[in-house]
Amino acid sequence: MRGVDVMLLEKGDFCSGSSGGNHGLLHSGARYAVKDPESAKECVSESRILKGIAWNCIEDTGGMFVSVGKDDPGFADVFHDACKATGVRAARSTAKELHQVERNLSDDVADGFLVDDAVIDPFRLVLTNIEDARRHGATVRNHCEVVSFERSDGHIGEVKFKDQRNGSVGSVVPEVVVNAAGSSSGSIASMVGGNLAMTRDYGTLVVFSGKLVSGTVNRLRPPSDGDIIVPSHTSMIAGTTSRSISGPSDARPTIEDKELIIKEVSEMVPALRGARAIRAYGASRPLASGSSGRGASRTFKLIDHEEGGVDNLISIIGGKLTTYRMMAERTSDAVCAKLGVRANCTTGEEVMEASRLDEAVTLVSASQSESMRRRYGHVPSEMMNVVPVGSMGVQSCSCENVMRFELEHYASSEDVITIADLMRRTRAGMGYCQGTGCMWEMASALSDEGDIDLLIRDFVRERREGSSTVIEGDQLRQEMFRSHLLWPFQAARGGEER
Amino acid sequence: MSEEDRCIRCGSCMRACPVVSTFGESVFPGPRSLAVDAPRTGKPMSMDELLKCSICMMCRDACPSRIDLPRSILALRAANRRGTLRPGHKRLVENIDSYGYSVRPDEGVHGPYPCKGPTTCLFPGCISRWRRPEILDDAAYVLRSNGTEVACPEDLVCCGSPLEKIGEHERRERLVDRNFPILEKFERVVTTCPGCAGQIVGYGIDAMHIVEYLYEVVGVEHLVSGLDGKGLKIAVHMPCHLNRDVGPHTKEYVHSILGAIPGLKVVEYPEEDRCCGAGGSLLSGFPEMAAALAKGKASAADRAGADLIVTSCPFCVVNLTNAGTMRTLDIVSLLRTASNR
Amino acid sequence: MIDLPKKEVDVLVIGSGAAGAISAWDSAVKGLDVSMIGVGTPATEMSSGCIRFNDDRSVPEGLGLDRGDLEDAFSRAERFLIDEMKTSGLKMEGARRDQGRYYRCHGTIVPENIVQGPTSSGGLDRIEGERICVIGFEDRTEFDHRLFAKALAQRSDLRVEHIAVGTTNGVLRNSSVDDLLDMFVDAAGSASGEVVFVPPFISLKDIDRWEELEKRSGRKFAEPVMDLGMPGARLRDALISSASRAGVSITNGASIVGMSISKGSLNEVTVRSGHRLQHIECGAAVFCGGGLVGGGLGVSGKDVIDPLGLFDVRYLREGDGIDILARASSGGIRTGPGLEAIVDGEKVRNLFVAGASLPGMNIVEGNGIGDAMATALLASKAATEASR
Repeated sequence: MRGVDVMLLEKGDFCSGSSGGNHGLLHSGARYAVKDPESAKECVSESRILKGIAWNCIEDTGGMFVSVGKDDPGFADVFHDACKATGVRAARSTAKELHQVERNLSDDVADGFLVDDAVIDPFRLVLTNIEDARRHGATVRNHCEVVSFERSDGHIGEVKFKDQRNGSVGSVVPEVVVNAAGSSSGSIASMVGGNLAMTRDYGTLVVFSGKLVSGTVNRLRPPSDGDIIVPSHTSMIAGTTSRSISGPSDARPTIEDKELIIKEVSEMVPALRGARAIRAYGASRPLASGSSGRGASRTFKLIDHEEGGVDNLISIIGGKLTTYRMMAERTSDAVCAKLGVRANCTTGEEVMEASRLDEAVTLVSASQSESMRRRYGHVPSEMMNVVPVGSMGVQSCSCENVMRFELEHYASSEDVITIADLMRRTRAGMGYCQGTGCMWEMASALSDEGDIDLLIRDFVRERREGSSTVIEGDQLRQEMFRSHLLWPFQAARGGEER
Repeated sequence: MSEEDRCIRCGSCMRACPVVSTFGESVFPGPRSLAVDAPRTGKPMSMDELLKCSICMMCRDACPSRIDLPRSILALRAANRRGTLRPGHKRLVENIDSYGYSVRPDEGVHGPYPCKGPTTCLFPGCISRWRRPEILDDAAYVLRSNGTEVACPEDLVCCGSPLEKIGEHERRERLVDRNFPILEKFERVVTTCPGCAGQIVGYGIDAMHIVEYLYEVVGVEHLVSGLDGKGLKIAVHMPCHLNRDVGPHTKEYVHSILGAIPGLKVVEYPEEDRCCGAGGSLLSGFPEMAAALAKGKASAADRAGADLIVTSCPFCVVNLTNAGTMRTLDIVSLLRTASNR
Repeated sequence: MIDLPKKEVDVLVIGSGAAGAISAWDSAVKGLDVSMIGVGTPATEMSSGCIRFNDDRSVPEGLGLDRGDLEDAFSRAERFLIDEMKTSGLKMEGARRDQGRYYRCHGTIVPENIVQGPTSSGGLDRIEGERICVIGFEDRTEFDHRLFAKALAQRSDLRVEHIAVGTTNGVLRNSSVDDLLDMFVDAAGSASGEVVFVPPFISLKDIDRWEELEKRSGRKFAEPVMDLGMPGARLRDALISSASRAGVSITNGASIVGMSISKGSLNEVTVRSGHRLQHIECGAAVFCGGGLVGGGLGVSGKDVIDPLGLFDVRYLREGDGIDILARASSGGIRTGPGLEAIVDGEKVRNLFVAGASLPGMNIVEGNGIGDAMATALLASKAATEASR
């Protein structure tokens, strides 16, 4: 948008790391008002901007902070003052008023605040950004992992990357390299010989089937484990925990994490105790400061590696989803300064392309276009090209109401090579059956390019990863049933992956 | 946690559903889509979609997670009451408001039974009283000739089952209030219609379907003595509400009775338990769908080599007769025919 | 509500999947008065109709069963599959594989073939052609012929084409078998494939029409192994038919609600049928209610439970292994030694458990239908003796 020729390389799929591993809360800022006022202020301004430029990715649900019986009653005043000081809107409300908004709240809820939290779909947000970046001329490649940096005299020359689709190695000689690799930022920096001090903090989230809340419900107390419930599409996400980890092998939700979250959040919404937990997942938060966990600031840090001896590398670490645009703006400011580009950043004003799309004349039923609007923010007109003439076609995923033409549309994209890629774009497979039926449909849509056996195996591994320690109740029966259907694949491997 | 949350998406309910397998999911989304998926995804459902379920309860019996899908569908109908009813349902409501029956009474038909005296009540039911009065007559005949005199009070009205099926619970309560004081005075209530039996049990009165009464109280041996099946080959149609609401013991009863009639041959065919399409308000709401289901059923019986279909529900008799391909008799009519009198 | 008339039977079998049906059949052919009740869809019906008998007997042996008895039960179960199923109309074909024997209906291609290609099917090889045609429906709701064709092509050197016939939802289940035969014969005629795959569509009733398909088109026909749908339903229908032929009284849609046990002996089982209860006095009972998929077992938290609250349940909690599925499979109703159920810590002399309700027998991580049937024959033998 500032006239710079850009290439974006992603080793996996877009949003398959930390950005996709959060609860999708668009912070009003209230969560940070007391301890991290700078973050709070950033959230106030950024959430307002995002509601404009990325409206199709946001459900403006509103939210609340509630105090429960035993919570420190003094914290409400501290919270209220901090919100005022940071410009966060927080309307003090009685228990009765809060119950009117959320009927499943616990009777132990004493009082609280209504805030401007919203829910953002991280997958949709990242994909919308990608589409818009491409429209502005950027080259964007996923499934392309950087394998080497050529470096001489403190300057990065050729960057080589491997395309997972065919194993081919490509290269580019950039003037400036931006390292925005999330929890892999450290290893990227060290590949160049740079150094990045960062902490990895792991947070677990639990996904429940169905919705017991209409907006976000936060605990009115200092940030702690299990203090938030976020409604998301057909499910609820509750979290989080926070523990520092040394490497990716620790990055796995544990049964203790899950039990702790359920214990804590059910103090706010008791019915959650009986809700069906579909899976637990998590991601490591790459934190900028030396300290870790809850104490660490959630603001971001922009590092110019010039001082460390690399004159064209910039790393951006830390931060949070709500302030991603601001992080990007500061980063591109730094890039433009290096390149001598004087154009201003306009990401705060321009509505992103996918968000601006007019509603297509829909060939689909009213309920389907409603579902698509919820999942995509709009009914993508280009998708209509694959709707079978005269019919709505076949439903592929009934948990999330995804039609086969939606799968076929995304499967035809160069970006999509795995079932999980297709899932992130359509939500097929994210429901309580975790792809029991639709993974075959997705494999079918992708099978022109992919090996069906590998596609299925990868997807099952992706879904089971981390989750297998925490599933219980009827979700365990569900998993047994899914295994039952996978028998042909398992038997063929002689049970090697049992 | 709601019962529906126990779903593991095995699809057994969808495969069991006679409406889905006949018309496809594009016509009727099916039990799981309606009862489990739609409430979960917030997908709007039209009342028409909800009304295409025949409440045959095949899905409930098929569910390995024991989810009572038909009950959920009925609850959704009730919750969706502002949704437009079909013309046939509107007529049904008007008839009940005007006459107390779901069908318009025919002037030529009158309940021919005494209202006082007997301690057993033969509950007339809308269909056997006004549409198929011969079934009521045959039922009274069979009971009387086996030693049970029955009363059939004029003041009894519709049992409420059709109203329950379209979510009209308050209207249904008003009917219950009219029937209950009459029925509670009897020692025994017997119905010809399985739907009525289930409803009256719901009142808290131990109603029996006539098949239960004939088997348990009269006894098969007594019942069939002197009967002649005349070499007829019959196919049994088990009514859904008899088989799955009154209870599967009735299937054994029906076969015991029919199997004991000398000279009668019962042909076996796999579709015996399959819905004929009448129930759940499908016949009044979507008569063409009910007719298609009935035709399928009748031709299965035909292929099995039957001369006629025997069932034990006046509503099934109406629907299967509408199909026009197979003669259909209620079991009480068959018993009367076989008595040669 | 007044109770149904009391009933007396020699053996009551609870559950009507593979284990229940063979157990009831076995007691009935020995001249006993047997009733079988069942509700829900047994895992057998959701299966591919393909039955595996493992060489590895460690799971049933781990239940304390005698090795000799077990071997006898396994060979009887295999004989049953061949002889009895044939009388019921289902021609089962078996072959040795690496870890056991596999049986499936004539015309079905077993799981391995889909993934590894039909030519690598070991003893079950019936594909001789090099050109394959896969026929399916355009909407692919029941069988994705396109996916199957691609899987075949990707796993073998075969030349595979696929053809779609018709588009209507539900055609497979609702069309008459004559229409489907015509449709498939026509489609096969327009294809060059020597071997033609069609979705499993022939029900037990029409199973003898399979050969007609081959005769009319002059091509070999096969159906891919497929969970959910016709193959499992066909197997179950055949099993029920065998039990019924043997004189078993079958009630579908009734469920047990209670058991009266005193002094280590089961006296009576209470069954719910519609709005009414029935007390069944039985000499012995066999519980074949199924496992986690079929609904005979449930899960509460991480514990495998008996949803009826009647039995003692074993669950191996120790070692929070990563594979919770394997651990869940090891849960089940406690018996033994042998198959006598344990209730409140005590053995019940005339109540037996068989099939997927037993620890380690839960499909798919467990041992499957073959082992379930073998334990069911041991249970019926014990029940037959106990009922006397």
